[in-house]
Amino acid sequence: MEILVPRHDSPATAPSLWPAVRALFGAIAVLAASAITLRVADAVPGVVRDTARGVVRYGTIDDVERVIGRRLPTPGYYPAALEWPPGDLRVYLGKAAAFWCRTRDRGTLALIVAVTPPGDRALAAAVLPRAVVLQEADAMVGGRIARVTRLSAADGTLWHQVEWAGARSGIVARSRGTLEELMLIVSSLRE
Amino acid sequence: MVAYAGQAILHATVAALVLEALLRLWRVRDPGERFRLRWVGLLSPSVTAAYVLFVPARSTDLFGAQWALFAGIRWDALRVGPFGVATTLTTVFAMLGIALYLRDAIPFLADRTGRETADETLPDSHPLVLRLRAHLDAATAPRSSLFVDVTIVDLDAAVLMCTGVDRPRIVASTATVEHLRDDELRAAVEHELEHVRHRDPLAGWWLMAVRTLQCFNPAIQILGRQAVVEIERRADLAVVRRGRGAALAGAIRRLAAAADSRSDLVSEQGRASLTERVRSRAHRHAIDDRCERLIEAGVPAQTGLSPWHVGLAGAMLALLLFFVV
Repeated sequence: MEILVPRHDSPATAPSLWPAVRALFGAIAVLAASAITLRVADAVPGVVRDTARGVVRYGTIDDVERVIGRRLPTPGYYPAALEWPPGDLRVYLGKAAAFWCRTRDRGTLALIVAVTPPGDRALAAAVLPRAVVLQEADAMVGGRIARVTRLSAADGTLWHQVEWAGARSGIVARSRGTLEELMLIVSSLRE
Repeated sequence: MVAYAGQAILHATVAALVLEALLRLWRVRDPGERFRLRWVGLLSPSVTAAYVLFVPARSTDLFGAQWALFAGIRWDALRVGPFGVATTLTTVFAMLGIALYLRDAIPFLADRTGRETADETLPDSHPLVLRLRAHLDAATAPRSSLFVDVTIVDLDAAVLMCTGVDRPRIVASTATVEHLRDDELRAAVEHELEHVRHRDPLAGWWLMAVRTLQCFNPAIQILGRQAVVEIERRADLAVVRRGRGAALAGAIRRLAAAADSRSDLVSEQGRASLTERVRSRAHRHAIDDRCERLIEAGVPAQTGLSPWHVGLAGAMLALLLFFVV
């Protein structure tokens, strides 16, 4: 039978800090590994559903308007090639919202309209796909100053974006079409 | 309520896994030390309740989106039919928790409430009582301050356990005392005395109280069972240290072979199967494993797990769980 001698019964030696330090570092390692594992597990639904953290997807415009407590701007002019109503609606923290419109034939993403609370336009980033700004300039839209941007999406496609402060909310419209077509859509948006 | 239940299950699961990692990393093999560390996990639901009650900011969407390491509600975005994955898992785990709770709570309560009224006890002058008393006196001699009552119930089933929070008592059946040889009975009594020495009947009630409060929480039910296993191993090792491991293994085998055994000596450590047949096989395997450990394995070294270690584990878990919503 193997009888292991308890460590604290060993001959007296000078107290060492090493066991405590080792225990502390071990605990920190477990804490870090747990945090990373939890964060990875947390990212799974977002990856599966293609949404950022805090973004919830809804099925209808009514649902979104109920959640954010205000109306979504809808375009009076709308290209016939795009599906309507949009099937992909996203809300971030109950504040920012966006509808993503795809083409009827191939289902390619073609137009996104996002709204944010007034003065909190940075929230729009959560409901828009990532893109790199290539060029930007100011322009007049419906008597208001707007920021017009040319973007490169993650898949390399070129997009145009118009962003301005509306009467009750900040609005961002992003289109894969021409800038002229986007301007027509933007000018027809009803808040 | 469902949100709290989901968070309590999630927290207890994280706590159980983190503690298991710490037990391995710190190489904690002594069951007494392992038992202390398991309590940190068993208390994790109180941390959850404190966070839910006193830190409402954790429940906001903003915290979930920007600060949380893991937000369970996000898993509800994935659907299983009409239900979200988080809600479905909470429901399934809650049912599993209740099943695990009832599986242990019913025999526990039946043992402690029904036995003495139903069974006939032998008088103090009965030879079997005197025999058990003699072994008990011999075992307590070095610790004369320990006073333990003895009760023998007239039963064909093998019963041997210690009960009583204020007035500890060893309860045995006539079948147990008759079947066990002197050395086996002495080892079994020493095992029960070890429970008395550590006030394990009280710990058992505390464990059952926590398990009852968290009856829906499968992680707490499993942690509770693991804690009971540590208690039993601690008592086993005390007997091994006195050189009576083989005699205790003999007692366990003899009691396990008897019909309708009701003793912590033959508790089903690791019994987890669904059907009776698999359960019985697992039970036998657990008994063999325990006996083998009593005879073959040595006494593990204590790692010197101090309150500092337990505090560190608790603080670390409290910090981690703050960011799990």
